Amino acid sequence: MIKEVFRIIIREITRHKVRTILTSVSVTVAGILICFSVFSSVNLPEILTELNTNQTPSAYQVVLSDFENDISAKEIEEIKTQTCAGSARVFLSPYITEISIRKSDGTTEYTSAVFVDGDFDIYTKKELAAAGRSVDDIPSEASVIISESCSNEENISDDGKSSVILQIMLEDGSIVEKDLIINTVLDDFVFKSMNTGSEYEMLICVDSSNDVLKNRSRVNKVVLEYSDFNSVKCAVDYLSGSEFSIEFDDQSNIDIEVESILYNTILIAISSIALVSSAICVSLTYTVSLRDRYSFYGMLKAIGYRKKHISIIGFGQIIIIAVASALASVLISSVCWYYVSSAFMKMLLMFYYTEYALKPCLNFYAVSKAFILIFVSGIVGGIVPVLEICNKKASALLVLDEQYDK
Amino acid sequence: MLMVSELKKYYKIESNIIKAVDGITYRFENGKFYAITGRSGSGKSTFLSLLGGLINADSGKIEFNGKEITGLNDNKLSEYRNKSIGIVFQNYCLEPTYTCIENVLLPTYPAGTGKAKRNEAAGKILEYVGMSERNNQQVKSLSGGEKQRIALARALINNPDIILADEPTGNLDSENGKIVMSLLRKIADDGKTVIMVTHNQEDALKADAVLRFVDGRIDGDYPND
Repeated sequence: MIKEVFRIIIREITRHKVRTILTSVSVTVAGILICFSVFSSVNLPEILTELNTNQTPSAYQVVLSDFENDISAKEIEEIKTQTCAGSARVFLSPYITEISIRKSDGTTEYTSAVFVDGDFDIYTKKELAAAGRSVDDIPSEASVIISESCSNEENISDDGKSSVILQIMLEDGSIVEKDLIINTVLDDFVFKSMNTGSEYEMLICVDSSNDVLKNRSRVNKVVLEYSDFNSVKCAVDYLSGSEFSIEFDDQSNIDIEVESILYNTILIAISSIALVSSAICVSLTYTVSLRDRYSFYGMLKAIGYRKKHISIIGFGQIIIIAVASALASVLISSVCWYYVSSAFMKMLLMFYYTEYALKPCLNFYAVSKAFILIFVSGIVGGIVPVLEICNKKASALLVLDEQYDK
Repeated sequence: MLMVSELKKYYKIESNIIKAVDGITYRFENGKFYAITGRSGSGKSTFLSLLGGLINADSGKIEFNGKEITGLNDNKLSEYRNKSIGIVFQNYCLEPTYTCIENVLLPTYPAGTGKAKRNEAAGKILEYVGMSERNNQQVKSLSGGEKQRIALARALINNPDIILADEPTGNLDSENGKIVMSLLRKIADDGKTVIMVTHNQEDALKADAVLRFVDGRIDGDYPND
């Protein structure tokens, strides 16, 4: 019986092509909408996390970096003028290539970084924070050598401060020395830094007005600051082809987060509308097409088919059409997605200027989720008309009691 | 043997009550050919639908071989329709996209007949109705008379005791009508009970007995000589 019922299902699908195609197309079209909504919204939590961790202290900033050749002050000024930047901060590369703290036995224990800006001075992280600077501003190429004499306990003063000699090795191999007093003995200092990278991490500021140092430096990065998105857009257009990144301040991040949530809500709404419209489309198509087949189901009932058989035939068709349509939707959408998403990303970049804002995503999870949603909408749409047929009497389906229709 | 007692089926249209079948009591003997005649709206088709279990009676009883049909659940009623009766409709009720043999075989699936047995039975039945050469032809390409013969073959495939025919010649020309009527006569002669609703007096005369319906009641029972 199962084999025969399955044959009837296949015949119903294959011999009533218009109905099958209409239903499949309606589910597929709605399915593509569902796919696009799902594909573009599935990684939103990652985007938001990314946004939350991507906080920078300044306002809208375009950071130019990785210069192959040095950039002149004139060129920087031109970029600033052309892109309507509020200001252009130039960061110079350090002229020192290595930092190391050497222990009394001669081994190197610690490597850190310095940045080149401001006074030639030394800060702990705490002091640096107090000066309103961030460790993240520090390039990683510079080096400081602390001489072994600083580990000598005799250098510790009565108030617990330790005096060390800082040696800065220049590119030509010459060494500049500076005295340094820290609040603990060197061993403690080294130990703590190695374990935690903590407040004792040492940083050096080099006076950029110092001619000797300045001549040895080159531009590491240029930070252009803007007050609004339109100005940033102007910069993005002008700098097209250059290496640059865009950073936002906290308020901007919040703005983007709000816009992302808003966008996600819109996607969910589109997805829901697609889902409901798909179900309605299927329901209407099935209702119309099954009404056209009332006499067939009425005949089946009249010759002894049970409600169970009719429901298997009805639901069998719906399941096959729902699966086929869901597969078609997912395949078509997946192929189109690569093309659409690149255009989509360009569009988003024009509005949001960050790759994190709304990164479209296509993965197994997204595809599975879309498939299940389309399948469910296809099934839900077909339930009502099939149940209607199952519950109608043969005489009603065959319109035998038409003249006495209640 | 099919027996009906005090069978009633009323329809309510707005405030009017239509007595389609109004307390009919009758006993149909095995192997006889019955014709039911009467004007449109006299309740003939409703009565036939009640006998076929296609609609439920408001009251009264239908008994088939001593078993009450009225009040059976869906599964039992389906089994009764599948195995004990065969129904022929005026408009054939065949699936046009199926072939003749596919249509004829449809009732054998719920009956659980084995493949070899049902194919053999279908072959015999198609031969019986004179359609054995058309068994692989699609129904939509057949003439009205041929369609009705296929419908008869489908009604006979599970070897039921009763054939219910609702105006089987209503859509046919006289020649095809005669062929179908002679088949129904032959079926009755072969021992099955045939109950036919017809407007055609000539067709009615071929039955063993004629039941004349007036306003949902049997006005007269006239045996044909």
